[in-house]
Amino acid sequence: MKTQSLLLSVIALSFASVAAQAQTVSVMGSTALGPIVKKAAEEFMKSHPGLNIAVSGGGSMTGLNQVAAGGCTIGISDVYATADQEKAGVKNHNIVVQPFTLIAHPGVGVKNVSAQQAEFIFTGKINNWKELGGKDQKIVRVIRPESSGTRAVQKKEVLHDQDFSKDVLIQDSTGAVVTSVSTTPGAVSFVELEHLEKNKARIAGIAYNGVECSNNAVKNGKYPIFSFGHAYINPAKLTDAATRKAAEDFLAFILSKEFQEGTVLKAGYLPVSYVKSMKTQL
Amino acid sequence: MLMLKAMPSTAGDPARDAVPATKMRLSIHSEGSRGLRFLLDRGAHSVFLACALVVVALIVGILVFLSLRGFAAFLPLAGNTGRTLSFAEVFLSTEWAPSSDKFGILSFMAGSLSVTMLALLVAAPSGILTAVFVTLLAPGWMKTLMRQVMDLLVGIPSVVYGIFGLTFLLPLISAKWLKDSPAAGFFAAACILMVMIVPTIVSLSMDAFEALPRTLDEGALALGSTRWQSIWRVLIPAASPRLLTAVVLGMGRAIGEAMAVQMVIGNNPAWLSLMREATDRAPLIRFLFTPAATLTTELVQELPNTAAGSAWNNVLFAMGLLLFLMTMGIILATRRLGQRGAV
Amino acid sequence: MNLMQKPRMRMKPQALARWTDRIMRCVLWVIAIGFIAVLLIFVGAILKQGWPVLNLGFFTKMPESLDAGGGIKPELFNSIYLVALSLAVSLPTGIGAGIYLAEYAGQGRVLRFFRLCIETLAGTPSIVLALFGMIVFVQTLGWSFSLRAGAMTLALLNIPVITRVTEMSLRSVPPDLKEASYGLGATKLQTILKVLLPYSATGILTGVVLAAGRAFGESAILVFTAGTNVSSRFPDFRLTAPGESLAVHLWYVTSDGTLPDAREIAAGTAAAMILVLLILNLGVRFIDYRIRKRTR
Repeated sequence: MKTQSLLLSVIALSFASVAAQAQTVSVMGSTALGPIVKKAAEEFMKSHPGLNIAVSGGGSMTGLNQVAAGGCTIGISDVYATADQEKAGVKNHNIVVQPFTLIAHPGVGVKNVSAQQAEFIFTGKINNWKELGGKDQKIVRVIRPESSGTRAVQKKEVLHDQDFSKDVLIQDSTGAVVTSVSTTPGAVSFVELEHLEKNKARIAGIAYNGVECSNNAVKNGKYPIFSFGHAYINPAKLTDAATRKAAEDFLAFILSKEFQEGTVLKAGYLPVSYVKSMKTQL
Repeated sequence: MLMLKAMPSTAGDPARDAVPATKMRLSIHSEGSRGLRFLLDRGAHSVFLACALVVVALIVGILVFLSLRGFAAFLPLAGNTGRTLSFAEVFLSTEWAPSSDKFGILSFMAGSLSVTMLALLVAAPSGILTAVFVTLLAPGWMKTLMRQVMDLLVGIPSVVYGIFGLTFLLPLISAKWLKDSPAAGFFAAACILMVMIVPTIVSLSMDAFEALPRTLDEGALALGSTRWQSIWRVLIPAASPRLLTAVVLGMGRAIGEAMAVQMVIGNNPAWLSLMREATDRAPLIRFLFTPAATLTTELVQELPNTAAGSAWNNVLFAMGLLLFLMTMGIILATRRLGQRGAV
Repeated sequence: MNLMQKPRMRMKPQALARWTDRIMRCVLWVIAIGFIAVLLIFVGAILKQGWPVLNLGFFTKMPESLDAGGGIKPELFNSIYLVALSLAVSLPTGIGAGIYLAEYAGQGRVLRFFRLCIETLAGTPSIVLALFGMIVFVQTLGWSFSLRAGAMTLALLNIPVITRVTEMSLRSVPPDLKEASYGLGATKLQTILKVLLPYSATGILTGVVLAAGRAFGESAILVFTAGTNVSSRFPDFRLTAPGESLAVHLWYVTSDGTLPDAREIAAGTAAAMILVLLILNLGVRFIDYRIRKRTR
């Protein structure tokens, strides 16, 4: 390891730049949470000149890996940290609530499914929209990759921890899922509510147990499928007190009533306080 | 920047005066500075050698770092948080379900091979024929045009190809040919890969034909063969070792492409068993239009979302190492082919 | 050699051979025109989709993270800056290595070994380079997702291309030119700098532009090393700033899809990239033409 780090520092010297003089808080992780956190960073930096918050993507686990190892100040994630990362000292803050909804190609002719039907669709027990009172059309299941946070929520809440059918089409991102569903007759999928709202012209929402997904339905406790967006910091690795303070202030700003009820709502998420009383761990 | 300095220029050019070479031009005429010239020459030699050694160091570096992470899957190393896997359960199993502790990557290897071969099936002949056309038959303006076309096709970013495939090609195939069933799979991926690797094959095949002695073609024509007979029976066989090299290098590009393929292939790790079980369509149709996955597509999708040190993450790095070793294998194979051609 | 046996001119009816000849010529024309058509349709479709989006505002506005109407100013800047940074590393290294291979390495085992390494690096899939860059620059060196991590990894992509094209260009210099230089008493270094490099400048330049074009369109590497965000300042020359490029922006916008105008932005970005590519290609033709004119 010693020779390795020596070698690396030689490479580093050849390309290292002067460290930034401004106080920097680096945020890495979930690309889905990226936009809202970036927006928060922009607003926060306006009131805190001299502070620089750099938000970059990389994926939920990349963010968690990095924050656990001290590679970044804040890791944002759609999923909870693993046991090992918890052991490394990462601390969770739920920053937003993310409702999920079933979507389908507009031509399937089904507007509502029961919880059991939804489960059967994705486990492969139901294979044609006809069986649900829709068009005679094969069901094409579009899902996210195994490591995706959305898929984890879907497996837990919709499939009740059973395995997905093997007959699926997998797309890496929600954007690609929406495109696939909108162009593939018979397609069904499971996405964040905001994606349905922004693509109403191309895809159709399907109600779950008779309740259409909406912010209000989640707030009233009528719609059960949602998850938290997380921000993790690792106090053990934040040796610089100023950086730690800046990171904590930034998280406090995200959780402030002003930001939660303003930007968070506008961005299609729900404020954490709305569902605080409900389950805290999915 | 170096090349700008090196461009032909007149002696008084101020930019040139900064270059040590100018000093040396003076030194040619002054007897006393022989030692300096010698030293500079030796110094330059080591600088150039160092540059070349950087490349070697990079290869070694890639190998070492990928091995450190990749072999962690099979060895009980300190940073591991998951269990240690055996080679057999990774390389000889088609079952990939990391959250259920199954790490077989055979279906990804098969997927990479299938999509590459499928792309080559069209790209190799059409690439070689295009090279034949450009080097031997086309009029001058067409030659220039084709070179431009190939340069541009090489330059188009793979994401652009991918998005084109996702938003345009897939719906088109699905609506036109498949009675509305999804089109994601090997066929769409191979179509896109084909366009991406043809330029490589064309430009290398053109080199191969240009390297042939003119007398070969002329001799065949003098013996009364038609142009096509000369091409088919004389020139293509004579160039075949280098043509094969061109094809193999195209294959290398196809195996390594990630972003474009990932958007259109459907990414289903269970494609092998899915294909076996589904019997409602002809086998070939099933093969072409079942959502499938390859080594690269799986890497791109899962790597950002797996925990460092977990068996899952380690296996992904092992897949990266495998890709790198495959590249080395391909390069060594072209070496062999090249040597055979040189005899 | 078996070459001589291959051209068996079987005395089939002459007519058949003539017809085959004609048909195959047609086939070749069709294939060539087919590729031109593919390119035209492709480029045409992308430009047509993106054209309505391409206005001054699109190039001069910062991207939005939640609302419609964002631009691509910092992404365009990052793309160019990343390519420039990566060339700053790969150009000296690549040209130096190319000179070594062409002029110093001789013809034996050393040359073969170096060539093998360069070909291997050239053939290495960009996703593998991305993994390497992620382990070394992002994680081990702790550079996080930044311009420097992206630029260094991009340089790995460029080095073999530049090395190869330098070597080939140097080898294509007529030997009498070199001999004349030595005959005049020039040292090896002088010959290289004053005779060989100027003579092969066009060849090298073409290769560099090709390498720059590839780096410009590269996404797999940058997703894993430069990140999917831009600095909130503009222009941000700091090497530690997050370095989302145009290609990555295109990928991110389509895959994330939370922007209300994601599809328009994607179409515009794709069109902008194709435009840059066209300008780059035409530019190198032009420079090539000028240099040829001057040296003739």
